[in-house]
Amino acid sequence: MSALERLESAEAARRLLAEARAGAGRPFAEDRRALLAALSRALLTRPDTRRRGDLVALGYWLRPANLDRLRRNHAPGPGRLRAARGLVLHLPPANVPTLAVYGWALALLGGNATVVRVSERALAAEPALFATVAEVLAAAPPVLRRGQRFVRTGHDPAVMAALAAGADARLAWGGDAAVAELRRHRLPPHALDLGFPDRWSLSLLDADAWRDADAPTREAVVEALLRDAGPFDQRACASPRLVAWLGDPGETAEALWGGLARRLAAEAPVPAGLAMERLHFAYRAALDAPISRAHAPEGRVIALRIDDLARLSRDHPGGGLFFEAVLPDPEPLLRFLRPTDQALGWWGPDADALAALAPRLADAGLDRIVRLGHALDFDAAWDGVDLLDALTRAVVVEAP
Amino acid sequence: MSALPEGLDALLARPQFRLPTADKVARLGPVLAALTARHRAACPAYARLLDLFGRPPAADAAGRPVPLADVPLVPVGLFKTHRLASVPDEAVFKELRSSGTTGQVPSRVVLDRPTARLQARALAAIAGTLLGGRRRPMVVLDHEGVVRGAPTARTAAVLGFLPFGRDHFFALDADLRLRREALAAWLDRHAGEDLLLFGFTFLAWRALAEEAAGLDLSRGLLLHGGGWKRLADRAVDAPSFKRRLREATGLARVHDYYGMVEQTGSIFLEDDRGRLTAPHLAHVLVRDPDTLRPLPPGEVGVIEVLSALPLSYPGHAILTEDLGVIEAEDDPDHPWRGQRFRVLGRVPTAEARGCSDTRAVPGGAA
Repeated sequence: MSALERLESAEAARRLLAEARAGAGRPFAEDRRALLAALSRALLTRPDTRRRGDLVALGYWLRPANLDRLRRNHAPGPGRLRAARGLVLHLPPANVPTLAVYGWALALLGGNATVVRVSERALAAEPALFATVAEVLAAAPPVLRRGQRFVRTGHDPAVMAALAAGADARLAWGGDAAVAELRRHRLPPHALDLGFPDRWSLSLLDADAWRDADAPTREAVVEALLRDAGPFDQRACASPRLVAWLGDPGETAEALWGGLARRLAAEAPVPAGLAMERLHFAYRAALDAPISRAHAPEGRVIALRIDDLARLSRDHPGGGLFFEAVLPDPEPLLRFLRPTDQALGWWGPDADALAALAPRLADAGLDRIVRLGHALDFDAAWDGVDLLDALTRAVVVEAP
Repeated sequence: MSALPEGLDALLARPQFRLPTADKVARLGPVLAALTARHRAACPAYARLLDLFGRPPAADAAGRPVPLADVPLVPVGLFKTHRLASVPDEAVFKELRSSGTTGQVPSRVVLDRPTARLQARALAAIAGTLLGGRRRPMVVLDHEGVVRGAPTARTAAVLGFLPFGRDHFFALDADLRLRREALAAWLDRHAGEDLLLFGFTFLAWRALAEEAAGLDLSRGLLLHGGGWKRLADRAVDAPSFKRRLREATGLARVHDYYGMVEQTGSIFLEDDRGRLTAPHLAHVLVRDPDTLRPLPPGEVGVIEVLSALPLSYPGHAILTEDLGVIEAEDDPDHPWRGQRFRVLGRVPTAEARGCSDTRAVPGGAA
């Protein structure tokens, strides 16, 4: 893969940065949008990508209509211009390969030169994605192409240090420890450092509406919950780990977990080690946490009803384990939330109630409040940061 | 402690490996059901697990015990994180600890005297079936300090097997290296006699295949257990283990066993064709790791071990972290009855704990 260069030394990293930097340009420039449109077309038509849900979602997100919407939403106000930051170092997480491309696309649209470090794990998980990117980049105009570099770095810390030393902005994604490790490499003083570390997410369901829901509606809710919790073995930051009921679903809660278990039976199994960890975690929690009941309709889903959210630790193994809480009102949830929490997937008919609650959820720490089934959808605003704003400079231009 | 579960005595009788598996299951079922009821009544933590995870009762409406696959299981890791006891502290005779490789939390297994006695009787029945009644001069492939050490799995195993031999010779020095000269002298004294050798698999390998080459152990029988991990790292499998031992020392009779500190005593012993075999007082199930459904013979899954012995802690049905496959139930062409199975190594640990992983830079978002 020509666009996935290996960086073996600090010297090579510095050479690459110097070359790439010359490839910076203007935000939303025509050739940049054309490149992403070509990538969108490729992802939506290539036989090895067009049937893959997450790659198709990426392809749709990159289509020209969506990029135009992004441009309109980020139009500079009067007396302002937008300009590129310069060179963006993008260090996406290994467990969500498409994030390498979402983050890069925003840096590219911002007019930047971009170096994307792709982990071996992400590369192994999504060879088709990175092959498609490489192909589309190879067909791009040379100046543009030279500024957009997807690299593999191996384990030499000197390479990462050299990349950091030459960056104007850095996006570091991963677990807390991984982000802290990446931050040991100093950026130049003027550079912008954005970290996207550990986050915790949940779903909030209207219990009264669920009790009254007919079978097709319930199936749709199960499907939406699966869309949020199924991918990435339930271990992405936006994967819900807690399902909170607003109101009391009574015995109908069983229908949710039973439905999820039946639906999961059609999906690929989680790795054996994760399944073991899920089971051991559930047994430990049963002895250590205020769990009042467990739904384990099949081995693949374990739901643990927790009576007191205040005593819920955020430890969680993933792989099909859910905490469940029944809340008479939102107050216990608002007390539970922290600034490190990320997404809430909402299901219920009462849009006004949610609109009223949203500012309080936001104040309590959440960054995304979305419909159930959309927790994993990418958005240019992530963890509270509008990436397009952050990856461009707001330049003041006073009229003469 | 109260009386032994009814039917347990018969399962402890010698010889083992005689009951066809179906007969054994019919006898083991009521014993395991009685153990489930006993632990439910005596171990609050176990009762809580049963209440929460809603496992079926120990007997159906007609009073028949449930199938062995429905005996409530406990994941083996729980013995590392919790002390599970069905006896009051004053009845505790000793607490076994797994040897635990570096950095691992050891398991804690609470034994009362009746359970410890059962373990010794079970081992005598199982090993006695292989060794016969005669006590042979015995080489322990370990350091003699091991018998005075903390009650780890290794200590328990050595102590458990000592009664099968006489004139014991501890063949390793404090650094666990072979005392070759002393062993040669001891062998001279026992020339012409049948010998018993016992040791942990890795120690037996290092001492016999690597350090004892040239000594004559052709009249010996080696019993070894404790797992293959360190040998797998050296690319030594069971056939090459046996071949090398035979080449180095003439040792021809070699029997591995599969057992764990959480079920000391009820070991699964290799027959003379190298197949692990379930004794009367134990049983293996292989489960799909994701759904926990029992798998038929021939399919690979996670091994569950059932044992009739644990009276003092709820360890009669334990889901291990080992992968394995049941190869046959009984074997018409072999004098030993019982399930035959293979252990295929540990379940690979889950990569990356999601967002909080520190090894592979995962997490992030999307």
